[in-house]
Amino acid sequence: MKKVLVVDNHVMMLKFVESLLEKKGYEVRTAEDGIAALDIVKEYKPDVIFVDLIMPYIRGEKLVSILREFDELKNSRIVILSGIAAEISSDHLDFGADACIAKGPFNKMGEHITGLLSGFEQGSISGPVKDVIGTEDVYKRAITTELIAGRRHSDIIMDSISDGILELNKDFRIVYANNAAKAILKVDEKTLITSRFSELCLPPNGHVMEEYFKGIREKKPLEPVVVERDGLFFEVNIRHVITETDESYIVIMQDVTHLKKELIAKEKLIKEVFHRVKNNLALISSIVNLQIGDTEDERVRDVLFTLKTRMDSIALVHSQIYKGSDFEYLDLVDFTESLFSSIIYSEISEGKYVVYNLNLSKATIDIDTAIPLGLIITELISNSIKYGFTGEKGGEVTLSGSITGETMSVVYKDNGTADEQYFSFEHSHLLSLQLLNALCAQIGSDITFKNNGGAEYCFSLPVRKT
Amino acid sequence: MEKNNESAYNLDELASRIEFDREDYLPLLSLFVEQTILDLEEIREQIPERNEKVISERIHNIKGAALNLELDRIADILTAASVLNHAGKHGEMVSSIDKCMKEADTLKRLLE
Repeated sequence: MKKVLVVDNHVMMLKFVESLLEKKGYEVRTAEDGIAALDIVKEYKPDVIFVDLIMPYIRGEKLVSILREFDELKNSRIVILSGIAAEISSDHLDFGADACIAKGPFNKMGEHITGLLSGFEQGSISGPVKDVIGTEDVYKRAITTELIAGRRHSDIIMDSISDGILELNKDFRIVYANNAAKAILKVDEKTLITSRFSELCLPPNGHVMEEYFKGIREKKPLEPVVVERDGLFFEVNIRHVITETDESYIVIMQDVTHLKKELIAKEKLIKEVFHRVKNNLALISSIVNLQIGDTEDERVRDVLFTLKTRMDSIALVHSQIYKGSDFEYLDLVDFTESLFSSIIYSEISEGKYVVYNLNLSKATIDIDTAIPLGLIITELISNSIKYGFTGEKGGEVTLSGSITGETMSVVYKDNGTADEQYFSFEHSHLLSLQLLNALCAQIGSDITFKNNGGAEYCFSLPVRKT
Repeated sequence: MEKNNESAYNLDELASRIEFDREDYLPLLSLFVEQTILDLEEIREQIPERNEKVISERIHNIKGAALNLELDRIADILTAASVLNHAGKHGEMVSSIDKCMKEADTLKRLLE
């Protein structure tokens, strides 16, 4: 028994051909679109395939050319069965069909179908049939001819575009790919069409893409993503297109390899600049350190040491920036942790201890905030050690911060003497306190002091919650 | 010449027009009527919107199937409706669509 597959988006047409051919003893399978047809031929090898030309998503011409890529179907006959057959003249041979029948009244069309099948079976038709069968039953329409020409013109334009363009149906299966998309994805059309976009692992893995599409369905904002494939970088933009009758997704893949390479080069350069600034500050800090060792005047030693601590604080910001992946923002907790341990290690004198507690909400800060903040913390800890912990043992400092909106309210506290001649803005003339005021102004904040069983300072800083 | 009432349609005669047995013809006609009514309802909804594209697609669907089944009167009504649609005379289309719906309803009653 001969096997037949009929592909048409009109149910009545499928029913007509199915009942016509089943009566003649054929085994008939039907498909309402190209995707269903391609799914069927993965497990069913028809001897003859009838294909309509005008179908949603995968058009008949495209379906025929994809079917021709299947080795298993190389001996199958493919017949176009179309309502625009009168207008396409003999083009069906160009896209790989063996014959073309014009749709018309069922009785005439039925005769043409069964006649052609008999010809195939009996061997009277061995090669392609150039002339469209049944054109005597229909007439050529100028408007259809114009529409076909317009569509072909659009195809030429789409295939000339350097960006890869895919269309996905609502189940995210690929139903169209222009030439650039095929070249980018390096997948043959037979595999590409009907594949799920996420299965092509673009971007990094299918799961990420499924999540991305889930976001699209939930109407989340569509951000472009840059993906790497075979050493090339592509920016992928996805548009959700809804028409009166259908919905689909248009995927635009733009080669941004040259921009990405420039960006990587610039990132390397910026990292290098941060690295060099940090190294230069470290070099000056080392020289100042040598100078401290060479100076006997206690007051000069103290000034140089304070200067060195401030430089180390700025160097730490640069060090964290070049070691990280973000040139604009630092992790606040990591930064303050490094700062506290570094300052306390260098400030503490033999026999003393300083315990520090950090209780900060997770956030990032930009570099314009990080440098003043580093200096503020340096001044506060130095003052606690110098003027607060006057006993032999040392003390405890705590930095706490909670976020409201884009602002963190910060409280610094020690358990030292809180002698107002050193800590109070009203009663002290220390340079350090003047610096604290100026540095807080830089980050848009006031700073207040109160004696709360130790020195307690409150200020705020701009943050991004993470 | 068909008359515009129920007796104008004879199922055996319609089936013989396309050289089908009655039992093979009825499922096809049933599919046609079902889809045609849906398409005509869609056209009625789109007329106030003057949605030429969707109206044209629906007319094309019904007309093609009507010609397949040699239901010439329905095809002729829709040819006129198609001209009005492309001319932007959507108000004048309403009576054509009503006429076509009447034909489809007649066929539906015959099938019942």
